[in-house]
Amino acid sequence: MTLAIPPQSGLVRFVRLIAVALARLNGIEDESIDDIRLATGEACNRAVAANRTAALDAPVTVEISGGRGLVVTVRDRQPLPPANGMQAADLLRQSAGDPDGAAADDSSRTSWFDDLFDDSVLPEVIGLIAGLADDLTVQTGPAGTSVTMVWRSAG
Amino acid sequence: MPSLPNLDLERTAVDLSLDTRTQGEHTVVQITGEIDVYTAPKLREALIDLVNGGHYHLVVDVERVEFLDSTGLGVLVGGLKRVRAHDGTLAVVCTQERLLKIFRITGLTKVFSIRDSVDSAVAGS
Repeated sequence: MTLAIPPQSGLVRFVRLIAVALARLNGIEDESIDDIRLATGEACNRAVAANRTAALDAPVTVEISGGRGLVVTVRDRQPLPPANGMQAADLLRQSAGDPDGAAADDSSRTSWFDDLFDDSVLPEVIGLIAGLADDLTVQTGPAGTSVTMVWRSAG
Repeated sequence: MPSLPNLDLERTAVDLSLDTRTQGEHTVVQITGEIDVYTAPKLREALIDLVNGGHYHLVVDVERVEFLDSTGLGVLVGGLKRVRAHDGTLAVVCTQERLLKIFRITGLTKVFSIRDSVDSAVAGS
């Protein structure tokens, strides 16, 4: 299943609901369901903020596939230099809240999310997602960033 | 590219309710519902209003919270910073393992006083 949602924070909960429903259909055990809900929501939050930071109305796309577990890929359209893994995570941290996508020192880095929040002490979201998914792949590039999370079903 | 429709999400019910009461010198904020990127602003405004109203010893009870993400954590951190500016305290009441997990993964168990009841939080300050 592929979803395309406008970059609006109020829609993220619906993606969470769908991810949880598909997880249950694919036999994911209960103890992973909360992780899937949280990680999917966090990845969508990040992607929504990324598109808005880049001043894009482009939708955030979410691909969810099952089989022997669940794979959720969330993509935004904020252009960044190409990178994988830890380098990609560093780029995302630097670009959060910076409309130009350029590296910013900590003193100027703003909140991840829209300018409602002036409390800039927020946890590093990619690190949070890494603690929730069985596998995590992050790739940045000129077409945007993809965050792929995998949960394996037991047995 | 056609412009996106205004979904006017403000008319949708916000799945977050807050009940505030006083217990001794503390102000207890009991939260029901989901704290996410969409509902967290309501909690943020409530905490700001409390601090602006002179309430510096807060107990945030999340026992009835069904979902909490990093935006919710950010609002709690912001509340903690605000009360600390007045030498105040902010304790969290939480026994739900699924919420405690996000506090642990983010390292915020070292930042917040997390208690298993309001009475314990009030007594511990």
